[in-house]
Amino acid sequence: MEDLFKQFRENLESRPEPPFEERDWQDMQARLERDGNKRPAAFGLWWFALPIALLLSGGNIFFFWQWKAAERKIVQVEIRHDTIYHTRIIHTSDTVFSTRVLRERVLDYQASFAVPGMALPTKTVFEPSPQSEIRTVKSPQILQQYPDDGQSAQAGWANLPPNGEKVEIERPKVLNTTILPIETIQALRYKHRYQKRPDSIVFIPAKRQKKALLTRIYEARPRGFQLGVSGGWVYPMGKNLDYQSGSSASVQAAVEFSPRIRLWADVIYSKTYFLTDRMGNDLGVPVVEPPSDEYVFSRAEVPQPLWQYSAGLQYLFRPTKRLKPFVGLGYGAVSLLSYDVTYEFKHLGLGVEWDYDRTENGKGLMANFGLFHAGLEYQFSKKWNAQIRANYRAEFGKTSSLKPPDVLGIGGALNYRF
Amino acid sequence: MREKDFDLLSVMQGCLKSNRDSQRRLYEHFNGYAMSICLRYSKNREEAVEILNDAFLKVFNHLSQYDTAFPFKPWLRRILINAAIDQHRKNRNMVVTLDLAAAAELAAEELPLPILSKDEDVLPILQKLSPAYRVVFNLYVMEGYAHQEIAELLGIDPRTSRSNLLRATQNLRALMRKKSLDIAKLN
Repeated sequence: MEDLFKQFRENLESRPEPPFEERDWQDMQARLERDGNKRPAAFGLWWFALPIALLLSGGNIFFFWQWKAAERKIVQVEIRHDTIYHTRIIHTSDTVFSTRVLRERVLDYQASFAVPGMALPTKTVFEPSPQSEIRTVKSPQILQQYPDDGQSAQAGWANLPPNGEKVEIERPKVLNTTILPIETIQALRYKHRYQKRPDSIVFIPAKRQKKALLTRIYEARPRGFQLGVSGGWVYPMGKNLDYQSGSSASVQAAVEFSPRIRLWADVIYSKTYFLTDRMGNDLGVPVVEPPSDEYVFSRAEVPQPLWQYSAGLQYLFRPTKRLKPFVGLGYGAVSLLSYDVTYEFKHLGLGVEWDYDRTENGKGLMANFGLFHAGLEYQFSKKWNAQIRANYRAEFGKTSSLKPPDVLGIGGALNYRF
Repeated sequence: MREKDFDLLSVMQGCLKSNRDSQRRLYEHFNGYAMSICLRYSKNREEAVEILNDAFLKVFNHLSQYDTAFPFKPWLRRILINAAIDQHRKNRNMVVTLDLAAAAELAAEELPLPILSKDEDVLPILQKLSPAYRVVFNLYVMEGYAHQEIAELLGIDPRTSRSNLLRATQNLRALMRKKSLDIAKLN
C-alpha cells in the first residue's frame, strides 16, 4: 500500500502547475463584488435578535410580577379560609349539643336545682354524659357572677346529682350568655382535640355545599412552576442497528398542580448515530437501488439530528421527602433535520465496495410519538432540584413516512422552582 | 513581467484596502499552486475552480489574520484544504458515476501493481474516486494527517476514515490496472 501512496505522492507533487485562466479571475471578481455588496450577517442578525430579546425579557418580567401578585392573593385567601373552618366546627358542635338535649327534656323533669332570684322563663336540661362537659362549668368564675356572692349557686351546685344522672335546671341568664359559652367552648375545644367525644353529643353534619365551577377551577390552579435544563445520552433502539450512540440537550418546564402531579413540557435537540444493515423508512434510511445487480447493500451510516417537542403528566412518589421517585407519560412530536446517509454496497464476486451519500432534507413535524420516563428527583434546596432519569420514545401510530427509530435516553436535569 | 514585480507585502497591503488590482495579482500569482491542490480534491476543473474561489474569498476576507512572519504558502494551503473539505460536505449527496463495476472485475485478477511512468498523470485516476474516498486519500497521503485528525476534520468516525482509505486504495489499484490494460489494448 505504501508503494501506491509513494507513487501517487511523487506523481502529483511533480505535476506541472496548471496555467492561469482569465475566466477564473472574472468569476472570482464577480464573487468579490457580490460579497462586498452583502450586508454583514451579524448586523442583520442583531436586528432580528434584539426585538426578540426585548420581547422575551419584557414577557418574563411581566409574567414574574403577575405570578408574584397572584401568589400574594392566594396566601391571603388561604388564611381566611382556615379561620372560617375552625370557628364553624367549635360553634356548631357546642350549640347543637346543648339545644337539642335541653328541649327534649323540658317536659319530663321538674326543676330540682334552681338558683333563687335568678330564675328565667326558659327551662334548660343538661344531660351529662359520664365525661360530661357540664362538670367543667363548676369553677370560681361562675360563682362570682351571682349577686349573693355565689352562695345560692353553691347551694345549687351542691344539689347536682351523681355523675351520669340527668338534671333539669332553670338556666340563669348570666350562665347561658356570659360565662357558660366561654367555659364550654374552652372545655369542648380541649376535649375535641385530646379526648374522645361523649356518645351523648348529637352532631348534625354540616350540609355539604355543592362546589361552584369557579371554585373547582380555583382549586385546580397551578401551585408552582419550574424551569430547567437537561442533557444526556441517547441510544437508537431497534433490530438491525449497530454502533448506536448519541447525545441530547433540552430545556424543560413543569407546572405543579399538586405536590404529586405535574404537567411537563420540553424541547430536546438530539443527535444520534448508528449503522444498519437494513434500509427502511422506519429507521430513517430510504431504500436506494444498488449501482448494478452484482452489488448488494452492505450497510448504511446514519447520523440523525432532530428536534423533539413533548408534553405530558408526571407523578411523584413521596412528595414530602427530599428524594422523590417519579414516572411520567407524554405525547411528542419530532422534527427531523437535514442529514446525510452513507450507503455502502458490496460487489458480490469481488468484494469491492461502492459508497453513495444521500442527503435527506429536514422533515416537518411528525406527531404520534409516545414518551415514558422514570427517575429520581433530589430536592437539595427549596428552589433547586436535580433529576436523573431514563426516557423512552416510541412511535405508536406506525406510518410509512421517514422517521427516526425508537430511542432510549439516560440523562440528568437541573431545575429551578419559581 | 508580473512575476518579477511581485512583492507579497505590498500586494497584501493593497488587498487589505480591497484594492482590486492587488487582489488580482495575489490571485494570479498563487493560482497555479492553489489550483493543483484543488484539482486533487475535485472530480473536474469546474469543481476545482469553485474550491479555489471559495478559498481566495476567505483569503481576502481574513488576510488581516495572516502573520507575515510565516511563509504565505502553508497558510494558503490550509485554507485551500478547508475549502475543499467544505465543498465535500456540501456535495456529499452527489452520486458518483464511474465504471467501478468494470474496475472491480479487474481488481479480482491477481495482477501486480502497474508501475507509473513519470510522464503518466494520475490525477484523472484520483478524480474518478468517490468524493468520500478521495478526500480521505488526499488528507492521509498528500497532507500527512492521521486518521484521528481526518475524522475530526470531516466529522466522521476514525474507523470510517480507515475503511475509506482502504477502499480508496482498492479502487485506485483497480482503476490503474484497467487503465494500463486499456493502454495495452490500444498499443
